Amino acid sequence: MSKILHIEATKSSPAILFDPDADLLRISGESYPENAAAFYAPVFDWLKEYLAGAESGRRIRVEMNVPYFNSSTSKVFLNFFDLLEAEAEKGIPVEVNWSYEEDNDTALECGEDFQEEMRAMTFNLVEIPE
Amino acid sequence: MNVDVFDLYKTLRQADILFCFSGTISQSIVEGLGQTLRTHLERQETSSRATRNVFAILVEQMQNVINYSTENVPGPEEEGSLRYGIVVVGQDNGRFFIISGNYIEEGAAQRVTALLDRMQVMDKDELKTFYRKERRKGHDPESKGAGLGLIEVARKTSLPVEHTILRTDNGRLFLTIKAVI
Repeated sequence: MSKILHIEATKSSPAILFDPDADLLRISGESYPENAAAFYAPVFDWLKEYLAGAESGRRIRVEMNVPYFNSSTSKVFLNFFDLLEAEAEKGIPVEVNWSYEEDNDTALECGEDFQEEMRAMTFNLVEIPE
Repeated sequence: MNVDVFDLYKTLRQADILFCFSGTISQSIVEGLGQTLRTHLERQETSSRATRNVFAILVEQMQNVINYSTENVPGPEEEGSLRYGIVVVGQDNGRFFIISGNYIEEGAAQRVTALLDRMQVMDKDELKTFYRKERRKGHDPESKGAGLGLIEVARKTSLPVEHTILRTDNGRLFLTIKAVI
């Protein structure tokens, strides 16, 4: 059984809160660490353990609010969504809510870039009004 | 001291340079300069899209210096990299430009040239497709991710990304990259 994963935000890395009991994965804040692969390594370790302990009736919800991320984070996020997409293909409902501020069309376009890659999961683009 | 600081300062101010940083670049410099630049542009009432683009390009270019400059200040890995380079942000005829410069290895220089040449002829849709394709690729052991970073830069510029590679007398290569928004 996985425990809650909680990582505090820094200037260049987001807050991470993964709650296995609620099946809720939340990433919020900007992401441009020096080494994105290293920063997210513990997150992937947690996620793989969580996904391996599949429980019936599980519905995974992912809440993302990342106004800006750098190119190395982009690659990491694609891997992250790929892992969840594989779950969705196995029939486990996965819903991603990609939130962006109303005036941040860059964040919207980045969300669309991921949305277009995903088929089995539900990938919503959610506007946050000003 | 042989550097005339006032002369340097006047030259940069007259050229409409917002800032110029030359020296060791680290992640905390990226964060600090990036935040100051954003605040500066917001106070100038620059459009939020232009501000985001300048910030994003600055981050990619500075992180390229951190990853690729051959002038390394070695230290414990957990402290992060510290490498020499220069970064300049300015305005020319109402357009922002971001220039970075650093010494680079021969192989990396060739990859940068090949990538930028390839992107010269791409429009924004082609760059988007190219970005998505490269993002899908497995990890390239030769690259620390700079390929994707440069495509990201090219997607945000209004003109093709320019670069120069100067070969110094002792055979070292100095790379400059200029992005115009």
